Amino acid sequence: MKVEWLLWFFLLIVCFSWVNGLEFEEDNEFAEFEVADEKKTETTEEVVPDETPKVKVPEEEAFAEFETTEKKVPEEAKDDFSDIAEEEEYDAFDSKVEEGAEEKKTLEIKPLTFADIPTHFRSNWSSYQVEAVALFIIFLYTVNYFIGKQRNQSLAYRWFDDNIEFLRDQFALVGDDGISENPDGTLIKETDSSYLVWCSGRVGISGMLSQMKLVKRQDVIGTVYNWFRPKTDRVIHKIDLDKNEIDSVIFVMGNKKSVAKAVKDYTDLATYAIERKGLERFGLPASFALHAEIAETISAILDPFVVQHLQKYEKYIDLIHITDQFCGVKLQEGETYTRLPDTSENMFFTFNVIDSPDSLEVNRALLNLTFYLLEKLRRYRLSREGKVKAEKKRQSFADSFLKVTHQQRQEAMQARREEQARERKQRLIEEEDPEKQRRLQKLEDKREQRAKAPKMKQLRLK
Amino acid sequence: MMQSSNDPRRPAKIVRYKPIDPQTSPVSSEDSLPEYMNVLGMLFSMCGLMMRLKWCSFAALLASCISFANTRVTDDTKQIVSSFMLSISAVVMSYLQNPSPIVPPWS
Repeated sequence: MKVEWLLWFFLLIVCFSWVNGLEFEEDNEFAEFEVADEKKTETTEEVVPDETPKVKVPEEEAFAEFETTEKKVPEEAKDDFSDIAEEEEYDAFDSKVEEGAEEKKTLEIKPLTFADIPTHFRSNWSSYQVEAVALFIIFLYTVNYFIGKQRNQSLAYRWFDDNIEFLRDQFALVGDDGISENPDGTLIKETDSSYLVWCSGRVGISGMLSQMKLVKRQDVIGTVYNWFRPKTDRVIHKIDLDKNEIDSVIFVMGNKKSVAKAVKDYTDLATYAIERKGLERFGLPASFALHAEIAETISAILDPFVVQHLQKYEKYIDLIHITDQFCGVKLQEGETYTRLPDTSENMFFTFNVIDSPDSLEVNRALLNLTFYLLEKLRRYRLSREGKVKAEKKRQSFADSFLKVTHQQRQEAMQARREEQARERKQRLIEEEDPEKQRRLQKLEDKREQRAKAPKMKQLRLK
Repeated sequence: MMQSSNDPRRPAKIVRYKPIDPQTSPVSSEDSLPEYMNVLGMLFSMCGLMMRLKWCSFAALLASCISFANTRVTDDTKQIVSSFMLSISAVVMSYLQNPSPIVPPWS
């Protein structure tokens, strides 16, 4: 949900900047033209001053030529026509020279300015500040990724090394990857913050999946999110019990927030479990909450051994969930089951992994508690009253489910009947043989008569 | 050799590990972060390329990095590689078209 909001927020920012960018580009386009115009005038200004010395030189040369010609003229015999022509030339040339001088004066007055051309990458690194900041952020993210990934990996392997011997005492196979022929001692990496251990080959259970859910140290976003909503590294043991291994028990206990979240998320807890108050009489810590279907299971499960461990390792225990009706997470709003969901018998133990000097002893004690509760529940049987109560609840849930889906099933049945009738009528129309057609028509009429006739139940007398 | 009655191990009862199929099991919003970041990265890359917004290209690169950091081992690597390539091409194309630097907001 949060990521969806983030997505919408980014979309809004992009749309806003696109709108601004359009105007900016228009200004830019005009600015380009203005710059281009300035460039043209400046280039002309640049060109003309450059050309003035060139213009001067030919003029000087021309003057020089004229001087020489002037010198030459008195030496040569003067012709009247040539004098006039020369004077005209002189006048024309003088006017040109005067114009050039005026132009020179006007040109000289305007100062030289540099055209605004973007300089090359290599000569202008200091102006790429935003790019440098962006690349630095990406570099930091990459460095954090490698450090976080390494840290998580070492945490996971350390936990596995601490617990593998105890797990080997309980299971014939510890650490299966599902692929290799001789599996043993494999820690499966799901993501850089999630590791799995599959154990199997034990009496009463088909397998246990231990999932290490670590803090997302490899992701800066995850780390920042953890500052606002702190979560510790956790290990979740999911035990898949054999069929009918435990009696009808639905029970959840642990940290208040975790219990509230579990009751909200899981169908079995939301349907059957009832919140129990006054947990002090059971000796539970104040930070714990408890929901159970049948009250007698609470005192059966919370014996002195369990209570002692709960009190001693309170900060390490997050959630203990025992159920014989597990069918996964609750459906989203608007979704319904089309048929009664399959249930399984499961036990979930969520423990916090806190790095401490005596973590080896803590891990051992927590696993001890896990298998102690497992064996206890395998042997535990409800009283007759408790059993009847539990069965009644399950039956009422099944009935209410059927009622809700009754209409849907009826509609589906009706649609199927109509489809079959349509097919029969189509076959009747398509039939070419008149004999067959008559026979089919008779059958169709009989069916309609039967449908219209009142339905009567037949009672058999014994 | 007879197994002691206290030993709970049963080698005959071993069940091999079956990875959960990501298509059949529902994915929570936490787990779908790499997909969101992938889509966001592609969106930013398109904006960066078509509207010539340089900051969009850099944001696309960052989104690709976040998606990579949260990716699962079972996910397709082609998708993340293509996301990276797209964001890098967005950055390169933005600067080829207009080599001028982004105007810093503090200037």
